[in-house]
Amino acid sequence: MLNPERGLVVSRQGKEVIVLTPEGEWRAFYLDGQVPEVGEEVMVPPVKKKSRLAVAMAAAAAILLLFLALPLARRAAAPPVPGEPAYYINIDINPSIELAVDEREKVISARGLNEDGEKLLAAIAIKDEKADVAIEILTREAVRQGYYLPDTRGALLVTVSPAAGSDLEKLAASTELSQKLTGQARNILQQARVQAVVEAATVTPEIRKHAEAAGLSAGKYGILLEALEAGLPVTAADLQKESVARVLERYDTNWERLLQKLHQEKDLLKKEQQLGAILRKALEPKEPGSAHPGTPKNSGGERTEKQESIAGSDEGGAKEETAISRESGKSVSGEKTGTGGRTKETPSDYVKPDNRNLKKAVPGNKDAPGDKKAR
Amino acid sequence: MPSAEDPSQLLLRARNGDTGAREELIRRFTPFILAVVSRATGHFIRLGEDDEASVGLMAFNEAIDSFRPGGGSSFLTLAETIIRRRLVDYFRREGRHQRVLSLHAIDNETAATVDPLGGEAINMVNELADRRREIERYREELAGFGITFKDLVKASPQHRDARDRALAAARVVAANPLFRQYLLERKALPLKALEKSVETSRKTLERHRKYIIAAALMLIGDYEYLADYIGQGKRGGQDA
Repeated sequence: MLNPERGLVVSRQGKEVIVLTPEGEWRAFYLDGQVPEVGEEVMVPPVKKKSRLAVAMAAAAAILLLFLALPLARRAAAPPVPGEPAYYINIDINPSIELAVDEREKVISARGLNEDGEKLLAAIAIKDEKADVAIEILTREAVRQGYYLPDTRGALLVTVSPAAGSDLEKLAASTELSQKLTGQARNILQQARVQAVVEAATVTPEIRKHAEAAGLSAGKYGILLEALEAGLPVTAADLQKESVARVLERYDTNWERLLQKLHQEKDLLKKEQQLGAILRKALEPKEPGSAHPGTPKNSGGERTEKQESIAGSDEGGAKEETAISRESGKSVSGEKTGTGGRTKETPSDYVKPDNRNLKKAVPGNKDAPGDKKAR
Repeated sequence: MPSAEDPSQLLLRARNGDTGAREELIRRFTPFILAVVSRATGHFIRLGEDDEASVGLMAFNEAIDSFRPGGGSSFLTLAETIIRRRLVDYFRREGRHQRVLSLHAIDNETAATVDPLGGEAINMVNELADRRREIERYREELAGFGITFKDLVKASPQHRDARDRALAAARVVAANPLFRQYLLERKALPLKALEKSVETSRKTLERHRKYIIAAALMLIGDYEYLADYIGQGKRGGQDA
């Protein structure tokens, strides 16, 4: 008879499935694309019968190649070592996880950066998987464990940093990797009909170290910087406990833009310097100030109100802006009247329409530490 | 060689309008279609004799067009769902479901009256869950014998003849109460006695030890679906 055409899936690990065929044969093979569940029937690819000659030829070719490649490999100054981490990948859902992958994007190790992360990792096996497969498995498991609730917007942030060196080439490769992985995660979430903001970011090894010192994943640390710059009173302690989406939701209804901003960010180190004291304050584990039950809550409340009102004025502001640009296109006198009351804000308008909000929010933030000092 | 072509390639070509590939795919999966139809109706279906077989073939053909690669489930799962749906439609039209449907299908009929498609989908999900439970139970029993599915992949006899002989040996073990007891208590095959009962050398039996144990356990234990599944490959050419 013909070779088996189909099989019953009895086990699945990553993309490797083991099936039982109706002919009573047990077969293992790799599937790409759809990954079936145990109990489903799948089509079985035919066995590739290698002739002895082909095997011998392959062996000969391999040996020949080895001899040819040996001097080359010796000459290369620093050949990529498989098994050595080349990139660190942070995934923040709320489970925060860090994967160390080698040059070939194979997962060498995975660790949970918080309790949820450890719990998630305990349920899956992703070692030796390719990074894109690993993120598929991770995302699927996160959905299964209920980290994405219906009717609420969740977030998934993939942050990649090179293991060493921050030259442009390495950073570009990291960006590419993070883009690929977010694409993969987005697919899985779409399949699961989950509404989530999925964003990629790239950070330098230094930032990753700073994040580690702050007890945060690189992704959450980046978000902390962005949030502080936008004037949100987010602290490291908040982000350690809760998901990015949950924390940001409290202060800002339009929080995806922070993720987008982080995605485009070029120099987080500079941002760290600019933030200076504000950052230091946010990183303090549990300062006595925040132990007062009343005050921080109050200021938080104020902040949200302020934020909302800004968000409310945002639409108006945007309209105004378009009106201005139209006017400026028409005539010089129009521009004068249009920008009359907004001279201060025009520079930030140049950068990005969103930035105006941030600018507005910053003075509010400057007030905040002042208030605390006064107390 | 056309017969060795990857079925998923055939599916792709069939979806892109290659009628040759479509026919080839249907021809190769006819045993699958018949198995699904037999299971759904609860009796043996023969191609060319039972109308249900044609309903199954047409449903399979329909599945080729409605399959979306990259969607949630595998093609065969989708095909099975559609075949079952079309059978329900067919029986309702014929008005003779009382006579031919199995208990299982009648159960489902009440649900299907309310929501013809939804009921069937739920039934599929249930069956999938049943199968999964059965497989899990089987995996655990095998583990008790120190056998994993991975071992079986390695121990699986490559040649059809060798496999048939090993399965025959498993059937002998499962049918003989003494052999059965020996296997379950000592977690090993009664090689010496078995060697006499089947015409296979002890060396071969030993080589396929894990495979034979696994097959015998499948027949002894209450693994309805799995045991039936292996039987499907032997339709028409039963040797034991």
